[in-house]
Amino acid sequence: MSAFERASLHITILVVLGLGVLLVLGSAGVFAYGQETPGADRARAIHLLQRATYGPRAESIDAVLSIGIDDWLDRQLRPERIDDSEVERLLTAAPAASMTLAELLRQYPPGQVLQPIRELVGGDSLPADERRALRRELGEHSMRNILADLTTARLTRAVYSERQLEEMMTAFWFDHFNVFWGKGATRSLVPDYEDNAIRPHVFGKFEDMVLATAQHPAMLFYLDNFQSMAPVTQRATRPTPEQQSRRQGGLNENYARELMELHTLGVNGGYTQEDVVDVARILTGWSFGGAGNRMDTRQARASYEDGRLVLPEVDYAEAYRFRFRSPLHDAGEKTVMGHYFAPGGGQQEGVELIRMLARHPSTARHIATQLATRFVADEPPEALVDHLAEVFLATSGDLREVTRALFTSDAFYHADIAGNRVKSPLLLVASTLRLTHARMVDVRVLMEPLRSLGEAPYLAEPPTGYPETSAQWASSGAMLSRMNFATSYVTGALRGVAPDGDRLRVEIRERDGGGLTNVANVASLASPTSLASLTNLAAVLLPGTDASELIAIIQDDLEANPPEDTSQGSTRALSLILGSPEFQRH
Amino acid sequence: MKNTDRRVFVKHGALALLALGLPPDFLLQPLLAGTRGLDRKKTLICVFQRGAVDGLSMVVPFGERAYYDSRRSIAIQAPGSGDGSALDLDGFFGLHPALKPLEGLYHRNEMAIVQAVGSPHPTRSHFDAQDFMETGTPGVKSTNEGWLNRVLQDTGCSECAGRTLAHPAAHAADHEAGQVAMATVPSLRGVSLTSTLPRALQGRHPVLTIPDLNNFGVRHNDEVGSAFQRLYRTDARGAVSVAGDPGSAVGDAVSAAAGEAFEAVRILETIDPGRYAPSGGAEYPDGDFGRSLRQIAQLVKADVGVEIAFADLGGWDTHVRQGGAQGQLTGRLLELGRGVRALYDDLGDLMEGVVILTMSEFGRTVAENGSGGTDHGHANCMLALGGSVNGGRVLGDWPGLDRAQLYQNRDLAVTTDFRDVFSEVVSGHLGAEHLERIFPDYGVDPARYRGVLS
Repeated sequence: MSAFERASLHITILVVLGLGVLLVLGSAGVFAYGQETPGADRARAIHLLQRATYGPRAESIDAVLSIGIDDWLDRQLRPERIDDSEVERLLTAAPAASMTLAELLRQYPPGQVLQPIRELVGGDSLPADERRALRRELGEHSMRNILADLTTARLTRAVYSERQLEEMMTAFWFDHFNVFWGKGATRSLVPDYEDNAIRPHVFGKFEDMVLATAQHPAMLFYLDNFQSMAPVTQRATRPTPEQQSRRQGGLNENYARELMELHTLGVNGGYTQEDVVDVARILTGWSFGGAGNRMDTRQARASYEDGRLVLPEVDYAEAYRFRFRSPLHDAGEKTVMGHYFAPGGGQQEGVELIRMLARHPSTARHIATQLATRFVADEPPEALVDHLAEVFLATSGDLREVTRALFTSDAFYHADIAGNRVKSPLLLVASTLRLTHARMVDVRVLMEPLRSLGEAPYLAEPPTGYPETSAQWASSGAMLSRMNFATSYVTGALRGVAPDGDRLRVEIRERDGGGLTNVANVASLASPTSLASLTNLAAVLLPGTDASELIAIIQDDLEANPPEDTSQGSTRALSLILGSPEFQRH
Repeated sequence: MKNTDRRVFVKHGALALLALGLPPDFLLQPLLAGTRGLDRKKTLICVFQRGAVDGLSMVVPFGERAYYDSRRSIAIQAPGSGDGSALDLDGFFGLHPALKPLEGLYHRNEMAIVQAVGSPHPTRSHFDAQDFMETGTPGVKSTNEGWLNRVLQDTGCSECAGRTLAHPAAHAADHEAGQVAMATVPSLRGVSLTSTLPRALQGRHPVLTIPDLNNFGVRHNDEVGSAFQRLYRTDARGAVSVAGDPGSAVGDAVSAAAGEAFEAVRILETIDPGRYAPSGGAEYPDGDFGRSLRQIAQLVKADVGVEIAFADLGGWDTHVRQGGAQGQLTGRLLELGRGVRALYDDLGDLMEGVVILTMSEFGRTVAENGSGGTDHGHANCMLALGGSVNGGRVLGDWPGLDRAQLYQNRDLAVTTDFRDVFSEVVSGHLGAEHLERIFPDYGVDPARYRGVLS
């Protein structure tokens, strides 16, 4: 039999086995939840932490083992009761991420406001030194700072927050209700969007989150609903001649479609194109902007007076406050999926519509599928999806209960599930940092690696956000980027974020019963102590994983290519573990 | 070795190889030796202008009175109106002056233009329209794969290429499931010189994403690189534990992708991008776009089996102060024109087997807006260049710019579905046969082809 024939044979066997495995998934697993077998507790705890947090640190594993999965989850599901002051302190390094909308818009006004200053800086009417100073000042108002702070906050929380599950679910729901930071006005609206439309609702009622996103200016702008309006003849009030002379608007279906396709019912959720149109009609007039200051905000410009940049006094927060513009609303009757809306329903019919969509059985199924895909398997077990959908419906979309059901289900703890996903780039980066106790001095240096790995936070352009499935993260270019990320992080080439060798040493020493003094010992391979240290290093970074082969290869490598000194040896060993195939999975 | 023995599943390709514990290059070496040099594959190079270029400034309908009536400050003047006027193509259309580098190719009949081409879907959303153009399924968002990936799956299939099948329905189902045998080594058939894999190339067929050929490899040092290679090659999940461990499906995706990358690195090692010298007097513009095109040229010349290459260029969303013969748009078009011309000159005679195709998600409003720019519109133009292109022509039906002729009273109407251009190019140039798989639910009809290829 040639190698090629053997290959074919193996493929066949593999496919058959693969199918078999899918069938088995429905039945009870080897270390199903609640079942007591020696060592199974630890395996379950690690698996839970691999999925529900940004990396299973030794102390978290101990915590789950000591209080049990149920209590640990219960604690995580009430994040407001968990002290997170350390992270709050760290977050002061990223001020834009926690500014109020008013503060943000004052510091980072819409692009046109600063245009005169940009022209001054770019022109030659000012002396060179004044231009330099002005350019510096302009830089403080650059929207790039917002993205940098948002990314810093996301990573800081992922790595160091005690509220791990909340952070994990915030990222999940942000993707679900994605807005793209790069689209115009969205830039200064995203921090408030995450803080007020997403995070407070991740363990609340689903319909409240849908409503909060529907009325947030970031979503209204990103999916264009703010400019969706009824044709003139359909409006409740006739437009003034002045209004009529302006460019005639019309219906914009963008948000209406995504609301049903992505946010609630799902693409096969049972709606038609007519439903899309009527949903869009119901939501006409859902916009933002105070009545009085619309023209002010459009015309406001910064100026340069007495050697200083002077920002205009405009209430931008008011300009982006949700507002139902009844003159633009389509007051006629509508029908959505058989649900009749009588004429003249105004803003309230939109609220009713959203609650109706959010409680729909198709929505329950759609959300259940997405959760199961993101947290369990790319092709999630049908029984689990059914179960989560049932919990969703029975609790009227209580996300605390749905999340609890997810992480306590037998299907989640089935032996086949652990390690079956490729870490998303965000998880890869965050878990690398979390498990090596990273010192995070300048987190902005991670923006480029995250971009080249394919998951730059807040920069997913399509409304789908980053995908729930995991297999697509393993592309050829991305795999090289992952290995390169590991080496540049460990060698300190990232300049701003680096592993904390001391903390790591302590952790390994604890495992070694005090026999080991330095992680760099991995370099001298003749001594059994260093083999132990390598084993312990792998145990810290890859808990619950059989890393014997990995360790053997690293040993071979260090023997075949002896490092110049111990630090080079430990650096290489750490890079290889963090860039290994084992570390790419969770 | 029988052809069928070279089974490499689209989805599980390297998975299967690793399952045997065989190093991927064991297989790739002889296969590559068999394909390299003997039968040089044809290549399609796609250039995506992300952000919706103003096609009416790119290929100017200077013969239309309405064009000048609608654009008081940004119209490109008719040929012969002094500096900055359009470059006459056929007495009615002219090229933007910044596309001067392409003018000669048009008159040498090596560049064709399709005007009023676009999507039947009315969306004016960048991301929806890009999505539809890249999946090849306007209006359908649930399409997982990009149309270019489906082309690779179709043209690479060892069983259905150029022959009549005994069980066509069963084989079509295999394609649907992504379980078909590839006749050639898949690793370098599709390459994207972008930072992330574009939607158009996503799918079950392996495709390489090469953000920068200069950095495509394991940095740091060779020891680390070879140790990583061993780690991924001997990845336990790939082989022994398959029976009891369905997680291996993911392990395989990880090690398979890494294996492909290492193989590509090995193949590409010989071509040393740092020392590449373009030929034909080609001068690429500075920046990512120029670098991507330069590296595409290098890959094509190296004859490593590239059939589809992809690059993109952004900055076309000119809502404000678009400019006429000078300004924002001009800067972008200069980069496009210089880049494409450099690629053309650099490839020289190889352009006989290469088609370069530009695309952009939709066009822009006929009328300029209140801020000296244009808003999102509908139909657009595409450029096709190459030795086999039926050049020297502006193809497609011109719908006109009078108000009654416009789409929704404001935009250039679509008279050619972009799928007709794509279908013609991939069937005529790359030999794709099953266009119903590439553009499902469309009903591709060669009668609608515009004659882009000669």
